[in-house]
Amino acid sequence: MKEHEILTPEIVEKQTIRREEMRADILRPLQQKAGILANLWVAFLAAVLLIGCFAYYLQLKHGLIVTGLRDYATWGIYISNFVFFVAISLVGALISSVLRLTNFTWYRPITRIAEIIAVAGVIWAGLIIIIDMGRPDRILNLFLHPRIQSPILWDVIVVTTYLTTSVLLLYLPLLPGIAICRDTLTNKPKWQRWMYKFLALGWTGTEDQWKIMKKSITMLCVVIIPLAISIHTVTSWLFATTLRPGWDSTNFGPYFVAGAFLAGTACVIIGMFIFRKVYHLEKYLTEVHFSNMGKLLVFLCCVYAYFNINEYFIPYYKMRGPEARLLTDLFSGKFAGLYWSAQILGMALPAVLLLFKPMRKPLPVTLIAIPVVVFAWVKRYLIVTPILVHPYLPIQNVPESWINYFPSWVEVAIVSASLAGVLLIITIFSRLFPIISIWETLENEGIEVEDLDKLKNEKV
Amino acid sequence: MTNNLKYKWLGKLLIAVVFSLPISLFAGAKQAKVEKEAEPATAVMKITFSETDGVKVCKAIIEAGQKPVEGVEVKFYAKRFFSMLPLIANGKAVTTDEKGEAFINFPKGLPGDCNGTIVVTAKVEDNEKYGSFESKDSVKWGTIISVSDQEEEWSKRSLSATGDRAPIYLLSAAGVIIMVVWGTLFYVIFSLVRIKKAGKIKK
Repeated sequence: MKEHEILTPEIVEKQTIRREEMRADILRPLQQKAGILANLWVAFLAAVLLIGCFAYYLQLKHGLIVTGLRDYATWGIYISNFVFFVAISLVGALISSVLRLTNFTWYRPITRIAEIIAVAGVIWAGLIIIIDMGRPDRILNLFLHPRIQSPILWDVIVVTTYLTTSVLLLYLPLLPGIAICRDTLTNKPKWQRWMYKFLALGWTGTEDQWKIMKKSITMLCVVIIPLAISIHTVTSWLFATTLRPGWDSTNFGPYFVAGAFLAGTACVIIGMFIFRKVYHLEKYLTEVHFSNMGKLLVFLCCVYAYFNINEYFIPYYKMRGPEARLLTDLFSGKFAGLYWSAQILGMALPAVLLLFKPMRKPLPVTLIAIPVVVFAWVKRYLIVTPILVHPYLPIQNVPESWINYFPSWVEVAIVSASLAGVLLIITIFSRLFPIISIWETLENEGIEVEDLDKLKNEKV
Repeated sequence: MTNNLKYKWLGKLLIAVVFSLPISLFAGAKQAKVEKEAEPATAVMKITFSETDGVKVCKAIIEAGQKPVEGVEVKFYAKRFFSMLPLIANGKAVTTDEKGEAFINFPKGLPGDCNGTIVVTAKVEDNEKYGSFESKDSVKWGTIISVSDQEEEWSKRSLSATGDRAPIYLLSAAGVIIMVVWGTLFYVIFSLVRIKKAGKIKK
């Protein structure tokens, strides 16, 4: 209990009522039976996932020949997707840690949305990199014969570490919420009640439990910031340490990190809007949150634009041999449509539009965030594929299919399945656990749940 | 009448054959002469090595019909594992003088095999008169690289070495980072056990 605060019985009663009110609002979606639309949504995602599983079975059976990958374009949409998932997973660190450690408070109701996007993103990032391997069993060689000089090993280490940290950062602040589910949702199936009981770790809200939890969260917040920067920097080094026009850049690390924060923030905005509408959380995910996220998006667009100028303008100024061919293809060749759409619709236009206050209302800001996410994926495709078909040594006397890359239906099905997988994790999570952190949101309103729990335990 | 016409046709054919035969024979002879003229003259190249006052000189001598050939461009190379290393910067050529000699100062410190032997090749490429030809010879002017030296070189720790020969600075930096981060994570995981216990005590 904070020393300067005097909790009179009236204040305690008022705060307890407010807490119960918030609990009821946030637990309502969990108590209600899922509607037909919600079930159809899950069925649709499961169907896409199953089709992807079948496509992967074909890939395992026949090898990578069923994909559009050939000798030049060895990385296609699988790796583009991997980079995209790593990118969106960074938002967990941005929202949970950077804002937490810099003493911002407005972000608190959206932390859990950011964290579950991060966890879902990094799980599928790890899976998609294995899918990209023609012989997934050989991943064991990475651990049996490790070579610390290889960026591939760094990537595996950092993805595993980031996944563990993100899961812990999602789980720890969720403990009081799971305990509420355990105590409140008694009409749920047995397995669900058992799960709540197991995951709640006997949470009763004692002073020690709150102390250990808050200390652990602070430790994780400190660790996750360099880790998040590392995960995307190492991902960028997978490219930058390879001698290719377009990848041979010292700018790649910060360029990737800036792009990741932008993509992740846009994902959170879309997530906020959907949960607000579907779970009727207008009281907690307010217009202020959308406005602030819109401002954050403008800032991140500007930072990303700065790195884009460094990344493309300087090679364009020099127009050195093989890079000139690549840039010509990007600026005015066969990739020009995608390139300029990504730069304008995915970065420049959103930044300009969001400068106007009416555009930062929930619906407009979400509509603006959608192309940011879509073109963030396209941008990753443009970072991976055009460069592979523009090597330093000219391509000569090879089949036509090696020169141009176009993903096969197997690749499209698997990538769609991975996207469905991310959405499925988020959907299932939001049906089982509170999507808004109750104690953090109450702290934002000046109510210390820790104090209320202490009083309750003393009474008991 | 018909017979007269037959003979006229035969007569014309005979005249055509009589005239065309020497012409075609003459043309064939001329072509053969041209082909004979296009064949390059034969030249012989010899490589010699000499050392005066510590300066090592590699010389190529070109002769045609035992006469020195002047003005022929010669390029010098040393054989490496996968390709030929030009012994003059940018692979420039040296022109033979009136004695038919083209020479270069042999570079110092060029690695040879286990005996220090280097195979030197002198090449003439697309000469107008003599075409392309080359000559090879070996000399023990290379730095001796023994197998054990090579093995020692390969066993050095570097970024390009095998996994068990990673640089110490990389191993220690990676080790410290991994230990600090995973140490924190294990501490947090252990905190979960403490949280469970703290709840039980209260009960």
